[in-house]
This record gives sequence, C-alpha cells and structure tokens, in this order.
Amino acid sequence: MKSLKTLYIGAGILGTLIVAAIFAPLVTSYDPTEQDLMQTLSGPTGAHWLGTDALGRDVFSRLIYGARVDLTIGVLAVLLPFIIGVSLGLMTGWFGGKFDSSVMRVVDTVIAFPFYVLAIALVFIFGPGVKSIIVAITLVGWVAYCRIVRANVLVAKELDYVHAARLTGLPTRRILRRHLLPNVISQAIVFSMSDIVLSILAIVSLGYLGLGVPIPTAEWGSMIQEGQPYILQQWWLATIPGFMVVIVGFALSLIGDGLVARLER
Amino acid sequence: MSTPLISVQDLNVEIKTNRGLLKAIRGVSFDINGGDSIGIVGESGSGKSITLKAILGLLPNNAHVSSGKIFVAGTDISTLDKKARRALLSETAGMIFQDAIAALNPVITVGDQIAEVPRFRLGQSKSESRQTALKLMEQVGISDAESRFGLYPHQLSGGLRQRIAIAIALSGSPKILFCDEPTTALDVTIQAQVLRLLLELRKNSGLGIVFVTHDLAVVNEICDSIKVMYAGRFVEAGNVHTTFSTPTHPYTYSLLKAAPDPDEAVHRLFSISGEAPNLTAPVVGCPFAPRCFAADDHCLTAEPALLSIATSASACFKSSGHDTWAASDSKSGVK
Amino acid sequence: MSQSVIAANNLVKHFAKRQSLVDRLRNKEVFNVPAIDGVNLELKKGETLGLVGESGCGKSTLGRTLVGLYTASQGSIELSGKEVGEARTLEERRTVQMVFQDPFSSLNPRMTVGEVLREALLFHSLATKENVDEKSKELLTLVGLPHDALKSYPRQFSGGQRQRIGIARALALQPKILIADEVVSALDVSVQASVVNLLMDLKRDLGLTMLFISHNIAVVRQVSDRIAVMYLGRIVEVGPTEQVFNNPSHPYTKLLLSSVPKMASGSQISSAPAGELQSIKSALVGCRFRSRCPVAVDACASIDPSLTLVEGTHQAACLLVK
Repeated sequence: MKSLKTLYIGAGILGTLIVAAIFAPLVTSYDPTEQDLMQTLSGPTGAHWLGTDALGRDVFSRLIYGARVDLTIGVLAVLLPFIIGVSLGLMTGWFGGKFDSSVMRVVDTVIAFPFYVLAIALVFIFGPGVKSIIVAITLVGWVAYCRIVRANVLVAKELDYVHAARLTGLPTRRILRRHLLPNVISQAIVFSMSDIVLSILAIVSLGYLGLGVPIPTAEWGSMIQEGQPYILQQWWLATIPGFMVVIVGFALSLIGDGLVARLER
Repeated sequence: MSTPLISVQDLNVEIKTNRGLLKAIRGVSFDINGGDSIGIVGESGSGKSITLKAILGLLPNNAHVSSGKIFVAGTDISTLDKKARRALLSETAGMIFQDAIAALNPVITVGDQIAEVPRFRLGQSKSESRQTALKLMEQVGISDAESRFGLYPHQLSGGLRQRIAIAIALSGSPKILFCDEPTTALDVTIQAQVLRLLLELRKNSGLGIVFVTHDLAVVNEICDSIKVMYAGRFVEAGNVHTTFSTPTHPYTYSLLKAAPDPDEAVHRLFSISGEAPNLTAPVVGCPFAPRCFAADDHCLTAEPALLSIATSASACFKSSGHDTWAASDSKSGVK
Repeated sequence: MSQSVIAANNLVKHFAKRQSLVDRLRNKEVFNVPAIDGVNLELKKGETLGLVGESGCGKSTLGRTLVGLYTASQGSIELSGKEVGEARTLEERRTVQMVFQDPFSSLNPRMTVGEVLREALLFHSLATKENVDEKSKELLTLVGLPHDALKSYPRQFSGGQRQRIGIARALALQPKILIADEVVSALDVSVQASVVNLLMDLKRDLGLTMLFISHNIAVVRQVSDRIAVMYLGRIVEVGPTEQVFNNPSHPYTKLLLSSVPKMASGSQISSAPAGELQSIKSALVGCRFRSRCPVAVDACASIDPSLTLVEGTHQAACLLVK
C-alpha cells in the first residue's frame, strides 16, 4: 500500500521534530536566548553545530526551541477554526434556510477580506503575540472548514442511512454527531494538514514582519528576519529556518496524502 | 459452413483490482453469424458485459485479454494494427449501452451525432449525411425526425435517447448490434418499445443481435439462442425455448425457477443459497457447486467443461439427470 | 372487516421548486408539479399492498410521505384511525418503518451492524444495556445472518446481506407497518428471491402490514394481496392482485402489464403503442393518461376521472370503466 508508506514517512519526519522539540533541553545544551557576545556569527563548529547568530546565540538550539513555538501555535491556530468551521458547516448544511444563508454571507465576506491586512489590524488592536496570531488565523480559517463540511452534509443528508436514523426518531444532535459527522469530516481532516502549513507560514511571516511572537523568544520567522542582514556572509542563518518550514510542510502534505486514501475508502 | 462474422476462441480476460487479479472471463468460445440473435444472460460480475467489451476492444484500462483469439470475418484481430482493427470492427458491429445519456455527447445535436459516421467515415457530403441521418431516425421509429434532428440529448426522453443511440450504432451499417443491457434503465413500457424496435430491425434488415442482460424474460422475447454465464464461463448454451423448457445446468434451472413470473403467482419464490464466487481467488471445482442442489464431492474438485448434450451444451457433470431435478431441487434451494 | 392500520386521505405532496433569477425577472410563474396529487389509500392489518408504476409516478414519494420523511403539502395520514400531526411522536415513528432500495447508501459506513441495532433498541427502550446484545442477535437470526455480523462494518457484506441488515434495523423498532421501497431492484435474481421470501416470512410471522413499492411487476405479483397502480401522482387502479392482473381495467394498467417481458414460450412483446407524454402541464387537465391512451374519447380532455368501482373492491379511474 503506497498510501500507507507516505503516511508513515510523513508521520516519521513530523514525529522526530515534535520529539526533538519536546525534549529540547536534552537535545541541545544551550539556552536559546543566552547571548555570548564573544562568539557572534561563528560558522558551524563542534560546539555550535549550526554556528551562532549576531548575538552569539546557538542557532541549532534556537531552531529546536523555535519548533516548539511554531508547531504549537500552528496546531492551535488550526484547532479552533477546525472546531468552529466543522460545527457551523454541519449545522448550516443540515438546517439550511435563513441560518444557512446568513452564515454563508459571512463566509463570502471573510473570503473577500485580505488575510494579512486583517492580521496586521488585529496585532495593532491586541498587540503582537501568540494570542493575536491565533485570533487572526481563527477569524479567517474557519471559513474553509465550514464550506467543506457543509458541501458534504448537503450530499450525505439525502442518503438513506440518514433517513433511517430520522425514522428511528433519534434527536437531531445524535444524528449530526453519530451519523453525519464521521462521514463528512474526513475531507476536513485532510485539509487541516495543509492548513497547519499555511498557519505556520502565517506565523513565520508575521514573525518576519516583527508582528509575531515578541523577541527574544526563539521563533523561525524572527530568526529569518534577524539572519537577513548577513545573507551574503552567513547564508544559513536566514535559510535554515526557512528550510525547516519546508520540511514541516513536506511532512504534513505526505500525511495528508496518506490520510486521503485511509479515510476515503 | 461459411466463416462466422465473429469467432471468439478460448477468450480469457483479467482485471487488475485492488484486491488482486480478477479472472473475469475464463475461457469463452462462441461464433456469431449474420442474422443470429444471441442472448447472454448472467448476474453482475459474471463477465457478460466484459465479453462484449473484449470483442469490441472497449476494455477499461485495468483489464486485458490474457489469452485467446478473436476472429472478425476470418481475420485474427490481434494481427491487425489499431487503425485496421477499428475499421474492421466498426463495419462489422455497432454497440448500444445501458446508459444512453452517457453514451451521447451532450453538446452536439442528436442529428449531427447520427450523421457523423456517414459524413466522416463513409465520406458523404453534408446534405447526404443529413438525409442518411433522417432516414436512420425514421428507421428507429422517431416520428417527426426533421424537427428532432436539431435537439440536444437532454431535451429527449429516455426512450428516445436509446433510439438515438441505436441509430448511431446503425449509422455505419453494421451486420451485428451488440446490446449491453440497453433497456435496464428504462421504464417497462419504454423497454417494450425498444425491444420491439430491435425485433423489427432484425426482421426487416437481417441485423444480428447479441443481447447482454440479467433478465431472462427479455431474452425469451427477442433471442433465438441463449448463453448462460456464471463466474466467467458459459455454463449452458442452446436454443432459448429448449433451454427454458428443459434446462441442463442446475444454475440455469435455478435461475429460471427463481425468476418471478408476471403471469403466475407462486407466492414463494425458489431461492438460491449463497453468493457468486470471488474470482480473484483460484476456482477449484465447479464454481456453482457450493450453491447447487445436485452437486456431489466430485463437483467440488473438478471443473466441468461445456459439452454438448442433445441439442444444447452444458458445463455440468450431472446434466444427464436433469429430468429428475424437479424432485430433488429443494435440497439446498429453499432456506 | 379488519381495521385500517395506515391510511392516506387526499394526500398531496409538492416539492417547492426554486424560481430562478431569470424567471423572477421575467415575472414568470414556476410551474409546480405535484409528485403525489390527491392519493387515497388504506392498508388493512396484515395485508401486503403492492404499489407499482414507472419512474417519476410518485410511488416512492408516497412511501416516504407515509413514513414521515416528507411532510404532506395537503391531506392527512391516519395510523390505526388516528390522524398524525406534522411532528410525529416517537411511538408513531416507531410504528411505521422503511426498508430502502440501495443496499450501499442505506447503511452508515462508519457504524458496525451491532452499533446500528443497539442504537435503535436502546433509544426506544426496547432493550436494556444488559440484554441489548442478546436482542441484537435475535434480530440477526430473524433475518438469517450469523451472530458475528454484529462486529462487522457494512462494507464487509454483499448487497443481499446488506438488505438483510436494513430489514433487521427496521424490525428492531418492532413496527406494525413496513414500507419496502424497491428493496430488491438492486439485487441479482438469485439473491432477490431469498430477500423477497424473507420479507414474506417476516410479514406473516410478525403480523406486519406491508406496502411493497416496486417497478418490478413480476415480483409485486408474487408478494401482494392487493395492488395499486400509480400514474403521474395518482392512483389509477387498485384492487385484489389477481383481479387486477386478470382483468386490468385502466388503459394504463393494460399497457403496463402487456409491456412486461414474459417467460412463456412463444411470447411476443406487446405491440400496443406506448406513446410519449407530451407535456406534464397539459396532462393535468382532464385525464392524465389521455395523450398516451389508445381509447381516449373527447370527454377525457375535460373530465378528470375518479376511482370508480369495477367489481368487488376493484377500482379504476377511467371514464370508460362501466
């Protein structure tokens, strides 16, 4: 089974990264925020595997501790929109009518709104930080889940097993949860894999713009920004955090592909 | 005897599925002569439709002819290149399908679809091909052909669409019409019309018909000879009326008895236990033996070949005792 | 005379057709064809009524309205003489159950057979947590499936077995009335017979009343005590099965019966012209069948015939029936 292999490879890559991030203090002996101004911008050495940055901080430690921040926010920033979007999608698809059309108008409005403008506006309201990022991504992200699930519900609710559940007299809540949800959610789960990549990209982009996680916390986006002035001499400072985003994206898309085949049979 | 129009010899077809290689057709041989009307009857998965598609080179990508030969007008078609094979097949046989709406192009008017072959293959001029198409439409019983020429498939009813499909199949003036369950999706009154049309075409222009269906009664209405298919093989072949009155294979016998008769209420249908075998696994013994009322241990170990007995042919070790089945069929039947 | 367990009184069901923007701009009325249009039907306790007709005649809509999946636009439904409201009580729901056509879409692919049966049994308090497994197994025995089917998912079964699961699910609620909607049309002939026999046995053993909806006239003849023929949303003929088959009185019934391919040797398919329905809108004035009818007279264009007695309880809706 080819699809299973992609699932395992993707999960392997992501799993390694998550384990490294969780046990970061065991993986590296440096504090990611500790400055060593005697040793700035050193190249890779035996002591500093990926060298040090302009403030003499160990790049490898910052990368690992950065994974903590980026992966956590990435997943959190998808979880909320997933829950909100799936629930609203279920209800709009099932109930239809005025409720459906008013939610769908909101969806259209959100889609028409440029994400980064919204995100930057929110950061100015709440101030930079994890909370603003998650709120911004949630405000925009639920729309996709809502549409995916709603479309699936519109098809599934006309299937006879749902009719049979209605004839049993089951309460609507039970039909939605037990008979519809498990059969309409797989596409949303698969989409959430690529959505995590998008939200990590958003965090990194905001971090790069200086609107993300406040310094000196290690975070890939701010690392790229800090490494940028030295791109011609110490190219890896800006490139390696970017490469990490690529690896995470690659792993998640492998998982997504594997899940498609696993869930949709 | 002259060369048959189409001769199929020991045809085997395999289909790649995600559960393994499925032996859809396991050694099928038969001849089709001009003016024949052959009904191929079987249940879903028996290989009846695949047989037609294999002959016409319409197998899906995951299926292929693994062995056997197909002769069209005496020529082994595997020796021909693709173009020559297409040309030979299309002047010999036309085909109509179960789903007429899928078989018609939705964005071309029905008239133009019928005129396509006369115009581009037979080299008629635009006005000639239009006349040919109108004539074909009248031939398949479409009244007011002139005004329906310019309509699109979705503007026509199911019965009319199937008539258009028949007209297209006839537009290359084939000698045989292959019919793959063309009336299954139609209402019974419309089915009767289409069947009558096929009978008329046969009577008036000597068109040969190979009719694939799961409906025994349909075969009874329009075919002279019948081939009963089970698990990728013909298990019984013969004249329709003799086969219906004295079936010599227990499967045919059971099918005839299980089919509800619209003319008579028996209140309890004869039922066949079990299900058709999975053809991804190797077939050991007679594939019908586990469901058969007449089977004994020998049937479970060896697979019988299709042998002639009297006027028909049967692939059953027990066929000689067919006149005693009525007394013993309840052994496994009613459950 | 035995009592009626379910009855439809002048039942009408329209499906609201959305007006397109263009139609609204042109101020054009969307013509709304009723799927069922004034149906009166009564099922007596213990009988099987076969409902036949061609696709689009409204037979499935009638079944789904009776069972409560659709709400009627007009008219009423009575269960054992008591009119049911728009929102049915749990008890009323339980009383009428349905077996569906498609063995693939009628079972939740993510619930095991056991979960499906358990849900129904527990929800209606027809079993306790302690005996629910036992009750589920009894149901499986009833429909001829092995007990280990409880732990399996629908995809592990063949079409015929799935129909048995669908029957078990309906029976779990101990209904009085079973509506079987084209239950065998997706099955092969060799499997069809055993499912039909099973339904008949269950009907007899459990004292059910059954509405057997099918386009397969041969099967309907085997199972029905009475038969009703539908055409364009109306019942055009109804009566005891043998009377309808031996003495079809509505021209549509005659056409339908003569169109069925026969098994008898030397049979010749009907030569009766079946005609084509020209326009539904014009068919709604006068007799609906007249544009296809070989014996229509002038009066058929203006008078909408109602069911009149042919003989005994055999009725047909045709002006020419005397």
